[in-house]
Amino acid sequence: MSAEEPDAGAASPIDAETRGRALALKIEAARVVDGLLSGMHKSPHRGASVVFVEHRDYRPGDDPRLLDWRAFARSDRHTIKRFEQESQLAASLVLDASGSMDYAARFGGGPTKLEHAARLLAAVGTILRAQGDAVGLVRFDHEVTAELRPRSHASHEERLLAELARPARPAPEGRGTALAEALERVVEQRVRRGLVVIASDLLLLDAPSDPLALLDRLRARGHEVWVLHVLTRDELELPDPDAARFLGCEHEPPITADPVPLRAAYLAELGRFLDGRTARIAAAGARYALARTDVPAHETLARLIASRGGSRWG
Amino acid sequence: MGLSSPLALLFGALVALPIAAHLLRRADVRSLRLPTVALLARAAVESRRRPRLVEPVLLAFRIAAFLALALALAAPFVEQDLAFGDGRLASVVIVVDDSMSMSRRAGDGTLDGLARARAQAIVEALPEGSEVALVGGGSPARVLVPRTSQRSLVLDLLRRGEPRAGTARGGDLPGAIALSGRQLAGARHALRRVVVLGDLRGAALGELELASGIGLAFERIGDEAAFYDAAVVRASTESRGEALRVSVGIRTFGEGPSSLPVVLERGGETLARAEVTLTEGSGEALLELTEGTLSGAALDADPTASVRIEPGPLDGLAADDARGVLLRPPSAPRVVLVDRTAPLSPARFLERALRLAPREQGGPIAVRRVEPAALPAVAPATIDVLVTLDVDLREPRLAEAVRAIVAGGAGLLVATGPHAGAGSDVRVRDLLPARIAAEAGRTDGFVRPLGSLLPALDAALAAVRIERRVVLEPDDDAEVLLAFADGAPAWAASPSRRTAVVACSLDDAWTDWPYRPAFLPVVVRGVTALARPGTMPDQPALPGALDPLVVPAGTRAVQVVTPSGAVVELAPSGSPPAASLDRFVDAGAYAVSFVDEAGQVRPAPRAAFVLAPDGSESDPALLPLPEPRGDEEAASSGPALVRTDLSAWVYLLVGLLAAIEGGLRLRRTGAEQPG
Repeated sequence: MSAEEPDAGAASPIDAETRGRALALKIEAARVVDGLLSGMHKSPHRGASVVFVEHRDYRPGDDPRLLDWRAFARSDRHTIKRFEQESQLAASLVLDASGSMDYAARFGGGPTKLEHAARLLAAVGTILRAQGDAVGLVRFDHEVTAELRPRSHASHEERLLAELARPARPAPEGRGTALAEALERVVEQRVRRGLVVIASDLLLLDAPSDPLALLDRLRARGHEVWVLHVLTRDELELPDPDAARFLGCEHEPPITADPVPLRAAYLAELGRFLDGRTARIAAAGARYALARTDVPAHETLARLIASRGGSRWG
Repeated sequence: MGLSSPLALLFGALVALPIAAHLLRRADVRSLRLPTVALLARAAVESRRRPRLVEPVLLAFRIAAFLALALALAAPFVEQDLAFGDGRLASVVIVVDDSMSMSRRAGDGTLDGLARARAQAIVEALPEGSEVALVGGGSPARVLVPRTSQRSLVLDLLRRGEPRAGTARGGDLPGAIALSGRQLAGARHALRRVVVLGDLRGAALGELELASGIGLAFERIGDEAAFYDAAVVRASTESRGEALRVSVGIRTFGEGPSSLPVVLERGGETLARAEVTLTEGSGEALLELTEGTLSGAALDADPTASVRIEPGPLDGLAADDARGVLLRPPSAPRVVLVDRTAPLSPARFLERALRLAPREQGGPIAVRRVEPAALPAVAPATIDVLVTLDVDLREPRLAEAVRAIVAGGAGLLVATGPHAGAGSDVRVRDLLPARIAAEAGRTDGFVRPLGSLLPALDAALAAVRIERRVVLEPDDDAEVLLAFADGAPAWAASPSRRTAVVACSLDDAWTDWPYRPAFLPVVVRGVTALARPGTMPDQPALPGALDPLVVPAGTRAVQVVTPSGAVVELAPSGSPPAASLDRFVDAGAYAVSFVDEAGQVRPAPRAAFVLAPDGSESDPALLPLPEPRGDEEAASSGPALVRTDLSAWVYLLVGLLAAIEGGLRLRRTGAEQPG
């Protein structure tokens, strides 16, 4: 259900080249997933696929069609033959559209973090759509602004891309980023196990409690979680040597500072921030990838897909 | 601090340049958005532990450099108020006048306190390595601290409150300056100075004796305001029968009253009172003590009293408003001269000399002449010194009388002559310190071989012509006070027995000595030295001018009660045993008692003495400040303003600041380089 009607005329968040490169990728759930339709992903339900799993003794109530008559002939025992059921993947894309995401690096140019995040998620959606998987979206800034349940039909994809391409809203003062609320929606509404892809800068520095605590709940419900940590070169390197008055994007108190003497301390602080986030994400068993806006989206995606999260399940 | 070119400070306006540049630079600061500004803020908080405020520090150094440059162009200097001198090493003698007039009150203290404080400031202003000496300018002038490079010795003395203005001290600044000159002989530093600190009032200083090359400067202690002073300048006792009269002299200086009341006090009791009418500032009074007013027993015990102007006038100098007086018969030696009856008595010269004896030598001396035959009738107790003049002592009754008198405690002087030649002493030989052996011929003059008793009159003694004499053979314990030019003893004395023999006549029979200036001082000193011990002159003395108090045999200690009531015990020493009285410097009458070996204290009224300042000390007439002497630099003694140019140091500071600023700038530039 959409909180706001998307702008029908909005440009696609993904360009043709990225789309083309993304289509060369294949997303395969590392965990078993639940799906209403058959697909290419492993399902916890044993069924009618061609992939043999095991034999077990027949118990009353089992489908007699599953009896392995050949094994019965050999062993004179009623044995059930089990096959792995392939399932359709239901993915939820979570897009952070908060004020801090509406920032483009001053050095090197490039898209805003929001555009880059949208591009990344659009690429994921494109890949999954191409695989026949269902893709949904939760978009948030200081509140959840859009929520699309996972669907796999073509019209849904257009709507999803339009929602991704919507520009950021001005951040009101005194309101934080609603990442926890967005993930809560995913937790509450995604009954089936699936894939949750989060694109955010994770700048939830003033959050009163652990903003990533919902990752644990997502994982507990069997979801596979990917986190795309979107940051610019400015944030990662603080390259500007001149003194400046630094303004926040979400009404943080400005500070006037010469970044040269502060640079080392800033980088140390940033390192602690990144270490904290990656450690927390790894602890939750999610995959993590730093998504620099000056790095092409397909490269980041390829790195993320190839990576193995700190999953307890592999 | 001052500036030679204050207008150059206008260059200080250049400081606006770096400030303006800084402000422009600050105003030019861009506003940048940064999503991670919260992390930057945390980093800023973190970096406060090791702040690198390059820009503000750079600005501060630039401002400081410009200000320092402007200051350097203005040629700054500092002026240092030195209490004394110009900061150069010097050898300095400080003369502190500690005479009575320096006891005058000044503010919360006294003039001598101000003088000590000024002396202390002078010593402290001298650079390390300087030499300093301290001389007391009161009479007698004396060296308190010999020339030393240990300034602490002088400072310690000054901090202990020395020298203190003794209220009985006169002034002797000329003597003190002469002493100072001698202190500076052989001084280590070429810059030699004498600084005199005193009130510079009273009598003119006269001719000053000081070697060339020594700077001499005077500093007046206290103000120059004229003030009125009344003083008791004289108080003496005369006995007339059983009665005593105290003669008092009053003097006023400045505009004073036409009359002043004076009282004679003793132990808080007023004994007599009189109103002294002053004529041209002077007046006299006679205070008579009648029977019943004065207890004879008390008089024997403690004769000390004081004459005081009453009520104390509000004059400028309180120390001279009272004067000590001794209420006792004269303590001068009672001398009996024994000579032959003749128109030209051999005693005529000695009698006259003794009567003319100056007060400071115990005069006037009471002299009686008796014929040899009458001597046995004289009570021995009334004789202090017996002098036989050309009397042959072989006559038995006379010799017996002499023995009795000497046994009674009197001294004995035997003068030879035509009738008292060789062998005339056989009956009293054991009393005398030398045997009269033979007669001898002419010789020229005396010499003073020992000089412990007789005054230094060498030239006058050498000029005496002696036509005849006797040969003396002194005993082992005899002291030869005078000798003839050929070395033969001329005056032999026994201090222990208090007897003496003179080898020539004391008239003009054998010598022209009585006509010579050396006669009076020698014979007076020689006769009075034989008097009974434990006697002090009636006349007041200045501190340092008192002879030691010779005590009777068997005296273990001398107790002195000062005018303030303090009891001071002195231990006699030497031969004959005597106690020095130099420590007493305050005006007034001092009562004396002797403590014998058994510890019994016996009052000695004849040993009481009076200290009083010279009357000229009471004169507050302001002396013009004497011109400094010596070269100009050496003579300048007062507080000096020493100017030191600081330009070079400030230029150095400019260079230092510029170097630091450059270093900071290079460091900042290096930090801005990529990588």
